[in-house]
Amino acid sequence: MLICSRITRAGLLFAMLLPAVCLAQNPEPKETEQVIQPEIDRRNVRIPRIDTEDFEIGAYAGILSVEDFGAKPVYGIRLAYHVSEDFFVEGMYGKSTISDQALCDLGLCLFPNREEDLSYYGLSVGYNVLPGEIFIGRGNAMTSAVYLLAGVGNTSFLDESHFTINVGMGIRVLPVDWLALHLTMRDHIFESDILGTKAIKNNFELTLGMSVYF
Amino acid sequence: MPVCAEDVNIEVQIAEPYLELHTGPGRGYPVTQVVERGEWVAIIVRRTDWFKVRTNQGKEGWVSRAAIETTVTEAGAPIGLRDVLFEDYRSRRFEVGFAGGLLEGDSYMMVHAGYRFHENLTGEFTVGQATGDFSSSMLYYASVLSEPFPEWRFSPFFSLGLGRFQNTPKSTLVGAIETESNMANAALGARFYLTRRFVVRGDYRRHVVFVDENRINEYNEVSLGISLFFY
Repeated sequence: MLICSRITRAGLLFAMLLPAVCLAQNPEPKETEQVIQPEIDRRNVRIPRIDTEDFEIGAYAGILSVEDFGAKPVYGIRLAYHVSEDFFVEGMYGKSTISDQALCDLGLCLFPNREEDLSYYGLSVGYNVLPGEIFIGRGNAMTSAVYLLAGVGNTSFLDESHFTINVGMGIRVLPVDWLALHLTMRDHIFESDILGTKAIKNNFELTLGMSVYF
Repeated sequence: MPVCAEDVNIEVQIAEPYLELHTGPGRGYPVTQVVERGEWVAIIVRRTDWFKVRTNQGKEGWVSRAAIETTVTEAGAPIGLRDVLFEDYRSRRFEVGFAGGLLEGDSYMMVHAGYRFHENLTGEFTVGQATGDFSSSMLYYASVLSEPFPEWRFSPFFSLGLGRFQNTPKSTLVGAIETESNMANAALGARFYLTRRFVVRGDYRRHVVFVDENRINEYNEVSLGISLFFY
């Protein structure tokens, strides 16, 4: 603050001095501090610089059940931007595996290997509903919210990509203001003809995540 | 004045009869504390339109922008916090968005990020993915977008782009080969400033893909999406 006001004052002095020097043509103005004395003590004007934390970044892990191909662990990353207290947009990228073991046991082996990689991404819009608090013990309260999600994206496995619609809901709990814990349920819906006929597949996912605001 | 950037929280004095402190950053969170007129509070952090404040007694809570708007700073001036307005949209610098649509009848989605370097001109980078029954395509292109009437709320634009086009046929198809080619495109579209940071945007784009010396493929794209802007 001291340095700041000094710089401001020095600048002020310099600006006020400039025309005086030009007019007087005085090469050596001595004791300049005495010539110009600001009569009023300048107020300390500060532009509000408030730390804004509208972004949220985090990771999650859980289980993804791919229709016909088993339920496997899934993990991913997530970035969200909170546009207002009600709405946010988020992008996520996740990885999992699928297995044709169950079909193979029946003699219908489809995949080159029993387990194949799966990855997905999505962009969703979230809407916060049911704001509240979660109480732990007598003296602890954490703010929480339930949110609804809907978005579009893509799911790829076996070198094929599928346009995917995701819908879901989640619960967000904030132990401290910059940290959030998420429990999210999502359905990744896409169309696939991998079993011969084209059909809509519902793929449920349950994840637990953690994120920080910045 | 970056020299003046301080880590010290800004302190404001309450000008309204009272200020309500919520437990969380939203109107639905309960009010647990009330601070009276004339008291000072420190603003710690902002999340969307909510501000976390700390009172002199060390109580913390969240207040809405509307509630804190009338408070005054040390200099006696109003704090001057306001909503994002159409004026901010007109002076926007960055824009990010996503859109969904159709590329020759196939489901298509894309993300784009742009920088507005002139009132009428924006440079953009787009990544799109189309998923069809027989193949899927990835599109990467840089484009320049020109808006003849940037001051209009509903503003048409046209755009020219250059990039790469990758096509991957389904592995179940026999004799399918992956191709990657150069591409150029042109688009006509419009933006509509919705509210706050939101812009709705629709495009009709025609992609010309230079598959090889003898073959050019043309694809039509229609998309509709939402963008967020930063100024």
